[in-house]
Amino acid sequence: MDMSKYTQVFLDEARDYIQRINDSLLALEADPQGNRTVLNVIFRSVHTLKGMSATMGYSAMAEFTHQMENLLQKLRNGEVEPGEEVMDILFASLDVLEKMMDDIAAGGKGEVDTSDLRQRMLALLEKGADEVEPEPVKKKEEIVIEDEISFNEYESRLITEGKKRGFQAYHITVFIRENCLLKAARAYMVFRKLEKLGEIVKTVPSVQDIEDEKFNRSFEVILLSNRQPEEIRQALVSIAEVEELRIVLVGVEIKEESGAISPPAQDEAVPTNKKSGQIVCQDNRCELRTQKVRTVQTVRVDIDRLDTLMNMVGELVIQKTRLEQIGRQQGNSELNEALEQLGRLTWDLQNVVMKVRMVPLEHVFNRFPRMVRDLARKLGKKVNFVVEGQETELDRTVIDEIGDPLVHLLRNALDHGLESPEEREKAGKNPVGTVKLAARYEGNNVIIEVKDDGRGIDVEKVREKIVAGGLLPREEAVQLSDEEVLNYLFQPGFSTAEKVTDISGRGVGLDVVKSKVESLSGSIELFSTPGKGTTFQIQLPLTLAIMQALMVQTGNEIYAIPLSYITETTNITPGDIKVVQNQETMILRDHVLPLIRLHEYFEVPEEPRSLNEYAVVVVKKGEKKVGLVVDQLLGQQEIVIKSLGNSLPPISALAGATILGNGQVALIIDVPSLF
Amino acid sequence: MSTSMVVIFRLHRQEYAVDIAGVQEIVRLVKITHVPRAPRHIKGVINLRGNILPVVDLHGFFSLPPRVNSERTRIVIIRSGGRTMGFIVDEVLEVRSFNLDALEPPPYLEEKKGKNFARGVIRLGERLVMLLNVDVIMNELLQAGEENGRGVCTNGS
Repeated sequence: MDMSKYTQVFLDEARDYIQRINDSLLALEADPQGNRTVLNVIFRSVHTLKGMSATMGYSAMAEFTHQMENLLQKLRNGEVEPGEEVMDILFASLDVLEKMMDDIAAGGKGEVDTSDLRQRMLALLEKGADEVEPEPVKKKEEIVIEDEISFNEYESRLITEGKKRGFQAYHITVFIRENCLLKAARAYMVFRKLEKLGEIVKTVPSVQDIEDEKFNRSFEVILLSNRQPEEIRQALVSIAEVEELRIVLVGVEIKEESGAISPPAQDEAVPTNKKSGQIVCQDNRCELRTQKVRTVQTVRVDIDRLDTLMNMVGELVIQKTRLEQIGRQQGNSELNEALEQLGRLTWDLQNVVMKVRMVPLEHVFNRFPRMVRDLARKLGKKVNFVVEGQETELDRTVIDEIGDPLVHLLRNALDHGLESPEEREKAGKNPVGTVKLAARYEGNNVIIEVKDDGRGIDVEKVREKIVAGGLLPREEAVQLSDEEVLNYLFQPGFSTAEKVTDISGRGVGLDVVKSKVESLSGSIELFSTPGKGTTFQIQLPLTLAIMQALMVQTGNEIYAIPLSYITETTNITPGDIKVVQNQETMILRDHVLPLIRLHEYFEVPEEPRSLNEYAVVVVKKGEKKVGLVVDQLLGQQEIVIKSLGNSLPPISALAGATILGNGQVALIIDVPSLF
Repeated sequence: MSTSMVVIFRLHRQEYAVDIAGVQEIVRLVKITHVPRAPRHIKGVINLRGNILPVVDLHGFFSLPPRVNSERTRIVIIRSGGRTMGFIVDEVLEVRSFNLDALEPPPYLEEKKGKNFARGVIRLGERLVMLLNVDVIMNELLQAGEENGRGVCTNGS
């Protein structure tokens, strides 16, 4: 059976589980004696990973997760304490799993050298075994395994209605002996038996696939039945070559193992755990806990398809605008009414599509707790890492890019921002420092803050650096406001090597952070109070696909200038233009502003118009400003950004194009390239 | 005998043809947005149902007298080698099938720097129609941009 097409799904899902384990491990570390649910979540996730990898034939991973499961089992039974060594091993195991995922993603089999870790695990397991009698725990405990099967509306209705009539929905997983020759025939017999006991709602894979033997060792059936699980089990174990069974009440699991026919010492990757099976179903008195059938479903979609959809919606909006123009000309009220309706619909549609592209910041944030933990340990600092607003959503493209800058800022906060516990205590602070990563909406923007309560930045020392580095003469440096001084930290190569320690090292790579954020049409600011801490505030647009722009006209051409670069607009008469060293300039509030005539700069084919007054759009890049001279301003507008396509070589002065209400193309000016 | 459908169009007083397989559609002349620093004979871009496509001034490319827009001016949208471009033509004349075996070798004059912009000449009675090699032309167009850096804009429109 060709599994390759499932590899991506496997990877996606497995990564979700690894993330879940990671989060739970952090929670466990924070509160080792806390409730057992965290441990159960970890155990379940590892267990599921084991099953998934075994199904996909990644035996190295299945074996390794099995090993992890053994360790977790000991933890769960209280035979091993979740001490430092155990946690380290578990975190290291996660790293191994990540490596396996990478290998699988690269087309490998997920074979990674795990011998070291396994040795450590074994040592721990043996130690645990020595200390505690490895007797099966007798206490009653429920293990709810998450249902991997999701139902469509029809199926869930069947199940709910069945439940009303007193039928239960069972999720039965049937494992057939590996070397079985007629798997389909065995499956057929299973179906025959089950059909006598109830109604089959769904199978995974589909009945057709099962009949075609398109399954590995196991298949799953959802059965509506009023029989007891034991009865079902008895009926199925009598079929030859059915090796194992797992019967789960939908929402609730009753784990069973047909020990009678299961050959002893099976392959390590058998996705059922003997011990847990015994715990759950003792003397057939299975405790059932009903849960709602999960009906919320998600679909993973290729981002390209979303882009196409977005494109088409944008086009729809344009056509709508066109129709509206015609409608106005016709003056037909009935038509206009219909067009208004259409307008609302397209607006909603556009919003929905935009939303679909949005991803919660969680996807970026969730890898940080682990990173902060590791880093804090390495640096010997104590950190309370607080994450807020991870549910805040941003456009997918922004999400993909914002991770690295945040890593940088967090590392900075830990490395240079926070003092050592001793230093903090001396300063009368809590020895445990706080680093906060918080996100929130603000208008059409998202604000992400990285905040520490460390030593802060000494503005005067930075000022000294500015002078010492020859960036500004002393007289000017003295006049800078604190804010302006701090801004110098974003200058490329501002603080290097040995200067680092003096001013707590900020500045290294901050220029990279800044340019990354700016490439995402965002901005970054820095606030600091000596002794109290430092805050980096990043402001990002909700989406990159749509932006606010000022539309300008020169000749017959219309251009869009992204609003985020514009500081102001003004007017100028030809007489006000002064030429300084071959450069046209104007005086704007006592400052000399270089001018660029867009008409010339963009080589507009027709002759420039001679006007009594031109409009000037002042744009900035960092501290530098330049004035763009155009014929007239057409007003501010929300534009959908489109690429110029692959049929043209890249053109440096352009950031793309957009389509105007009348169907015409307007080019978007890439402001940074003007400088 | 292999026949092929071709679209025949007019540029100035000459007739040209392209294989219909590469022709996506033919649209009326719309406002072309000038693109600064684009390759030399690229007039600009147009919006074709939400996609932005470059359009080519074939008159300039073939060194014909400057184009004069008329009611009959059309943009032939051609796809080739993963690229889509619009070619401005003075008039689309006809679509007809043609026996490729009867294709005559291109006249040497149409070979620029050893590049074959024509696949051959189709003879239709008195008419001589040049069958264009679209891929080679597109490559040449984009190349011109690289060589020129800041492409010179063509004279008027």
